Amino acid sequence: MARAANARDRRATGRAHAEFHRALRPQTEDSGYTVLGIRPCRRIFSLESMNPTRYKRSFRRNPFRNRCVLLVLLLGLASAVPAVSPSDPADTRTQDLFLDVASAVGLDFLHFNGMSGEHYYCEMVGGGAALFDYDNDGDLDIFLVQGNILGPGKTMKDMLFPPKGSLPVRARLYRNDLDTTSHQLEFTDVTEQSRINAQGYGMGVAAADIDNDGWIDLYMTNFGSNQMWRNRGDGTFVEITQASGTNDSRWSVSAAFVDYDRDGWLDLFVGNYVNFSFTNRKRCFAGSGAEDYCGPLAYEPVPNRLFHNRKDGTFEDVTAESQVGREFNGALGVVSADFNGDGWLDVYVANDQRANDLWINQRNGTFKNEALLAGCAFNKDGIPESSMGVDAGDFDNDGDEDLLVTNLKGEKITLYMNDGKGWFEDRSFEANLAIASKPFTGFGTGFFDFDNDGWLDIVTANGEVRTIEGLARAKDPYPLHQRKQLFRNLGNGRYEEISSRAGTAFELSEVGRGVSFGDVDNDGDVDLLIANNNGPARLLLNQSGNRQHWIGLRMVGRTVNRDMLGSRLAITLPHGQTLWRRVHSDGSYGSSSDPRVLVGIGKATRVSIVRAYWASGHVEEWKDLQSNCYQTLREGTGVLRTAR
Amino acid sequence: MMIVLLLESTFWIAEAHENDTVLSGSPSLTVSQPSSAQPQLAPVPHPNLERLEPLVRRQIQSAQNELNTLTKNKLAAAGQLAIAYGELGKLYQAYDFVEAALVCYENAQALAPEDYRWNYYLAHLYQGEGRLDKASDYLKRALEKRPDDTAAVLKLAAICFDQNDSGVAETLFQRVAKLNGRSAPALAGLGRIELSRKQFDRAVRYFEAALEVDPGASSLHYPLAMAYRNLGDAQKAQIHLSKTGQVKAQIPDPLIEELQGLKKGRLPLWFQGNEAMQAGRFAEAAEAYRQMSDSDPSDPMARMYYGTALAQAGNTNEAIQQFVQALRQAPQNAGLHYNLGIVLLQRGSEVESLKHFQAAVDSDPSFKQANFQLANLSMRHGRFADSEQSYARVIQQEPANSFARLMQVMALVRLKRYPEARRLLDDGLKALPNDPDLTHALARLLAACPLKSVRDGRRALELSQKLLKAEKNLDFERVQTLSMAMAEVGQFDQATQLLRSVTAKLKQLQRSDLSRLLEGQLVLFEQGKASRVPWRDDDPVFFPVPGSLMLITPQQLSPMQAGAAN
Repeated sequence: MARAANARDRRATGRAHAEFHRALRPQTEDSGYTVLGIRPCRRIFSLESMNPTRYKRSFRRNPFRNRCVLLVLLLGLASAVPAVSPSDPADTRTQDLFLDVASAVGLDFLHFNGMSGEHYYCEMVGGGAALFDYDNDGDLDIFLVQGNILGPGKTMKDMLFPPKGSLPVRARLYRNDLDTTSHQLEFTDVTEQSRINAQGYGMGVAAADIDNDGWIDLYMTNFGSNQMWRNRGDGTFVEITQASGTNDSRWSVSAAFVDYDRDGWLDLFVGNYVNFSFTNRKRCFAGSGAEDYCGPLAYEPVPNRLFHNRKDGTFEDVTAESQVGREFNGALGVVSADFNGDGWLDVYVANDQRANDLWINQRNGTFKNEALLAGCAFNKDGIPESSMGVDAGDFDNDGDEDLLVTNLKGEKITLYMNDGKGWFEDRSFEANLAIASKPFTGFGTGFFDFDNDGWLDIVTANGEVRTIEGLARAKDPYPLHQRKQLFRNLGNGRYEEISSRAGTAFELSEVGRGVSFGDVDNDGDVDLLIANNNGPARLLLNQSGNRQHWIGLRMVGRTVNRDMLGSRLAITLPHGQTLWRRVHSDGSYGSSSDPRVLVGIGKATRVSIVRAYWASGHVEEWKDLQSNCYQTLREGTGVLRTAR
Repeated sequence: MMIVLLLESTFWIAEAHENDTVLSGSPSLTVSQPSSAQPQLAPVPHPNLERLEPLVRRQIQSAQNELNTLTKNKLAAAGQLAIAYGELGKLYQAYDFVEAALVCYENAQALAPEDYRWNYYLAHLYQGEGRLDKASDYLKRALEKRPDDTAAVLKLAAICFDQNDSGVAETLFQRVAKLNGRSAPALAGLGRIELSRKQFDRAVRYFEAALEVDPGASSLHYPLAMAYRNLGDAQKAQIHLSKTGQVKAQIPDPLIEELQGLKKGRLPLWFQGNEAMQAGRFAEAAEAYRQMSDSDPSDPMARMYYGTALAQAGNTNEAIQQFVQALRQAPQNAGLHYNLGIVLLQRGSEVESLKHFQAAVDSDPSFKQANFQLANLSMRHGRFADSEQSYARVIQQEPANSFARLMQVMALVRLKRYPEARRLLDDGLKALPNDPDLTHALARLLAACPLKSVRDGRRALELSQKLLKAEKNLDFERVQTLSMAMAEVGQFDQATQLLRSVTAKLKQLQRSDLSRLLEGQLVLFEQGKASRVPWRDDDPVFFPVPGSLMLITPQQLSPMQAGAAN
């Protein structure tokens, strides 16, 4: 509690405090949502009304669903509702918190890693997944990255795990056919119709609207040449890799779209890994003498790339000018956020077994790596960790972006707490994350408020990179699998592992890699899409998050219907407590998430103020927003505030 | 008394007792227990020994057999059996069969709870597995038997700290510090505790003290830097950040060291050698690699490891012998050629070493270090086209290598490919803005290039002035370039005046060698002519001098470089 008190104190004395008070000045513009550009409260779908037999489980009706009208009547009671506080763990003990519905809803994707017993380094590194609304119908579609046959001269006959799904082996796009009438969640494989023919050896994916046409495009990172797919807006995509100038033939895993120069167009940061190839391949051995996968130090890291959006569908490689090519340490995870609170987007790069990078935006088109002094290059002992997945978020609700990094077994999940100025402290042990995560090798991860209590929880998809002795002895053909982990934020700077209560999906031992976050069934809580290496994709539907109140916000541009990635939101609740969230699709591991901001507000029934710090630098706000529904806030339709 | 073992083919003890099976076809089988009143023992997993070297396999099998014999011996004492389990556990641990080792130690500990060792090894393994509760329990048991065991106390203290019990951790670290006031790990532990308590000044004192005791513990510079950072002393923080490494404060740990001595075969020797190399213990590494090489003299890789360690240890004659012999066995081995080239270069045999760098690059064109050395030597020996290409390959792999960028331009200058040189300098400055050497080279080229289309006097002047302003000490070459730029824009009087004053100063400093270089230029400027020679052919820039020559360690080599594919 002392931690929370500190957080409140800091908030009260910081910039946020001043702005909060400015926001309290009487406004005349808050009379109607139309004026403010907010769509009428619209619940699109509720999970409970889906055909229960499809999921072999019945669902308790959510008392808050579709009750916007009722809630308006209850606004007067808001003062009796306390500010957000961690949910009572007792609430979550009665049923599985998540339920895997992948196969039930038509998500039949099986990852193929092309392994043939050669221990090619790249075969256990992919892949990622994306949740994005490619057809603009208001629900999240799914893109899953696929591997392929690996190795010179190898054919399907050499494969230890031949693909079981439909051929050719390639990345898959699944359309969400969420039916608002029958309320059924169903996915349809539309890869063929979409004309996405991604047959490279896929690693990850980043999704965003690169040309401001209102349709989300895809950038695929590969072991081999990356690919940019432009969404034509008619259900099809066209490859524009060469034309857009975004090709990178080096081994890339994670990428992030970031408007680093505030010009309203998304630029692209591509994290590149190491120079492994079939010709420079090394053979590595476990202590027992058995051949095993090599680690990253066996190879040279290769430089990351930064592509500047020229606003005409093409990009310019500004790696050199921007300085981000100066230091590179084998990137696996990339996340962009304003870490030092100066209003400009920075980039944090999680590097495998070498120092992580914190590229601070110098506001002139260049970046400077300040990770060392900032305290987020190494763990608290000054040792580089095997960083893989990464996310940024305000876990302690003090108004700044903290960092979360997953690492190798024997290391831990590392939680870097931001002091508000962009200096970090490794608080993994204090936060009670380290010990529980030490036996696991973590990949995809993210801060997300699974129970809508206003505090950011954590999930990790785990899976080893070196043979697990016991599994190998048991003749397991792919002895790298581990279970996933879920950590609940206790609201006092500490977490509690609740994997055992999270559902059978969390008991499954798989080689977890990418995790994508988003409200797939639009029911007001965050669901998880897990990409497993050499295994099936999992769609974990959140079963209980919407028992608490929430607000869903889509932040779009002034003139373009594009998600304004990188913008920050200050959501002030009736009691004055402010939650900070960021519009983003990046982070995790080779994955792309729902760019809508779903904010759990606990027992609060309305939001007093939403203040947007747009990536462009403008600040504006909206007042008195209803809870338990999604709303679109368009830049320029709120009340303008002092820009930074 | 009988014990129950699971009937599973992977459990070797079950296999060993097949003949004792009482309940054939049953999911479990019973075997005779060696002596009375013994605790229930867990079946030991049977690791796959197929991939081990025969020597190692025999070593483990021998320990397995010993245990097997004892378990069949009904008269065997619990203590004897505990030792047999424990010794097998040590072997499993030494060869990374952690799971099997854990079961062995658990059994040994159950049979002989008074034996300190099994508790300690269990704690060590559980700590490595991230199971800190178990590690902590076993350490406490170990400490009941040996309360003053420093390694155990330090381990327990570290675990307590990780478990957020900084009070107990502090007491334990202080206990070690009392026993041994110069224990770097204890001092470092106390520093960490103070850092977490935000007592930064106290943290600084502890870390400084730890580093005084163990200056090689480079990882301590990082938390020390963080403490200074939080005290607001950014300068000291930066100093310590620049010294940060990965070497931890050493904890004397005889039981774990004992495990190293158990390892047999070539692979453990290889690991041992690698570890010693990484820690800079080159003589120890050489000894491990020598044994590895002796065990199979036909293996060129082992010779290469041995030669590299010898060279690092300063024994270049023996290193050369090993490399030469290995090259007879693997003539295409890029790594061998490279390291031999380095050793020869260290001895001043440039022509010979150039041949070996060339051979290394021929075998592997992407070999960055070989390309770099080849480029430098080619430059020194006037092979500018070769040099330019080699530098280009280096830059491709290491875009931030400003030296390679500069030298590539210099090679182009000697080849009179001035427009390319200018373009590369512009590109270089985009990638490495404000790099003083690249800025200077560009200014010089813009001021004095023989090609008019390349020259740009105004920009040259601007760059030169900016450079001189940014640098604290006046550099002779930089001033010369400024005078060239002045002359190019027609400021002959200023250029002349500047050169005169510099010449006078150089004479004063008795550097007539340098002043002579300027005199010819002075005459030109006095005649109202600008320079058209950006660099004289004998300019030292065209003769890069080998600096610190880094051998490449075998672990850094790709198979092509290391010749594993041979």
